[in-house]
Amino acid sequence: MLSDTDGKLSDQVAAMETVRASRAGTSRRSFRTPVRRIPEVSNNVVAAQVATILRALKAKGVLTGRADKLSARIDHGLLAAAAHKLGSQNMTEVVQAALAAFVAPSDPFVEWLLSDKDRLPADFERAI
Amino acid sequence: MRSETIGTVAKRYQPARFKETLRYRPDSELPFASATTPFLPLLLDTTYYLDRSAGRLPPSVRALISSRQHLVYNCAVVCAELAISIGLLNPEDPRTSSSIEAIHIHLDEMQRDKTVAPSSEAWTEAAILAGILARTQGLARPKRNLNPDQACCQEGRRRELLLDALLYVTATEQNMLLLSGNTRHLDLLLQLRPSHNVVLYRPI
Repeated sequence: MLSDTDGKLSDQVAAMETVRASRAGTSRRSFRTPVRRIPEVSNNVVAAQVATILRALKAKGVLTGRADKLSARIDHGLLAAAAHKLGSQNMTEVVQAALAAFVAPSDPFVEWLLSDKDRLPADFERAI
Repeated sequence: MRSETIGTVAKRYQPARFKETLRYRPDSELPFASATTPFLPLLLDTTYYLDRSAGRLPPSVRALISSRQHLVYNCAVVCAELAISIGLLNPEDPRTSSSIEAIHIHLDEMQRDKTVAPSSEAWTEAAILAGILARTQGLARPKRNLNPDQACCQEGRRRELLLDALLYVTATEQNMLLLSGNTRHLDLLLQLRPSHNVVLYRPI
């Protein structure tokens, strides 16, 4: 399911977001979750992160909309770990997610948050 | 068949269970940023922006933000808490224009697709939590027993609780991790409604 057309990329991003949305929708089930229970790394979070990266790569013009078929020998354990992290057994999705993560642009919002730029004035008071 | 109503959300709570004043817990019982912080998208509290501006963010928080590339979100509640000052600040004051410009820059950094808003269910749940806290924490005095200033103060403090509860419930609804320096209110909210959706810090 490499993104050979814009439509397919959109479908993939939408599918990943649907997974995230459905996760959000079921969060109420954890209503009685004990405090400090640490959940496992959420595959849905990773999928959402990859979807955001794919959108950013699309906006930057890195994604071309054309797909190349590839044949490669990759260590079994590495593939299995990546598949587990993504929550998908579809090797095309796994390889695409791994490559996307490798070339992911930095998040401009995170960069801004960590910078010293654009501070509120020292005498700024929270109004409510 | 009728769909689920807002009343269903309201009935999840039994306010009568909470009779005593809630005590603040020691830091060791609170979810401060650590290696075991859940890997969830971050939702920023207004305190983050204020402490960032004051240069008071601890290194652990900066590391946490850095580890969540493409997974940092804003909440409409925080947008409102910042935006109110655009209308509120005195236009005659020479400092106002720079303050408003700084707020605009903050809002300009908040992408719409990275900003979440509370649902009607979240508003309802947050209101119930805020109501319980107002009662248990001594903010339920009848207006007739208060002078106008006290009544006004009590209402203001209840609204503070409501906004904090709203932010917290939005984080649980979206299964995000609310990053906040508001340790006291979130300690109380976590006692009423335990979850793994909060990570706290103390400003340096």
